[in-house]
Amino acid sequence: MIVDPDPIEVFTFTQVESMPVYAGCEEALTNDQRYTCMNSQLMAYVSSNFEVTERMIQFSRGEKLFVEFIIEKNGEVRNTTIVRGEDELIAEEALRVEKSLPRFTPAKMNGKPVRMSYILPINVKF
Amino acid sequence: MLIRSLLASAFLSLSLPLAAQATDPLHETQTLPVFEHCVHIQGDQSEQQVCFNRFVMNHLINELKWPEGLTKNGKVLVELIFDATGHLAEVNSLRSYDDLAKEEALRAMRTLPDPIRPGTVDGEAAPVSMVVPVMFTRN
Repeated sequence: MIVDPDPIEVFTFTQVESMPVYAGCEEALTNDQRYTCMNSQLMAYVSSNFEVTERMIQFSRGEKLFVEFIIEKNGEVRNTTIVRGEDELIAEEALRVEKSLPRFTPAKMNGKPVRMSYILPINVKF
Repeated sequence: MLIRSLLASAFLSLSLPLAAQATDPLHETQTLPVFEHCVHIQGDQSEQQVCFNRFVMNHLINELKWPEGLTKNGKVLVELIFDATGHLAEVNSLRSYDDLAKEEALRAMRTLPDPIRPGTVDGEAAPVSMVVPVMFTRN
């Protein structure tokens, strides 16, 4: 049986040797290119998938929130948490959107997939 | 290898503009504050962002010290708020695992130089906030 020596270690993007690749960013070869492609793709994804409901408009004032998520070794997005954000309705929708993100090509260290965390700001204005 | 092991990582990105109403399809265009180190960059905002990240990260690598008495590795999430003049107005800890680590992360961030140009929203100077994870790792 192979035991993972450190199953819970999570890296941040400046630590990993190879940045994760967002679906559609396969052309991006350098880490900088992958980073900026991922950023703009995430922006586009959230912009088109975040649903502003009537209820939100009625009860929320809008805010900028920060959502953290982990890209697992298999590329799935897990452990989504609100880092900063007061509004429950907005937080709920932000988490839903994060959880629905497409699978990534995971970050790598020494050629092996590692877990990596990412913090995404979402600016919700009405 | 202490410096390398004290990897501080800056993890910043632009805030996401969301158009709330279908009648307002225009998304805001936001830019980050510009440090003197990055003022030469003429390219698009993504290059400016990479430069900004790197500048903050390098600053942390030079500035962060392992706090005496800190025994555990971990991560502190620090929020930076630049005001509309570009001044670093607030440095807050959003999540921490140890008070010593938290204080050191905040101290190191407060020594950042002020950017020479503020961030903007739709071309106007505006406050900008971001979250930077600061890692304390030592084997």
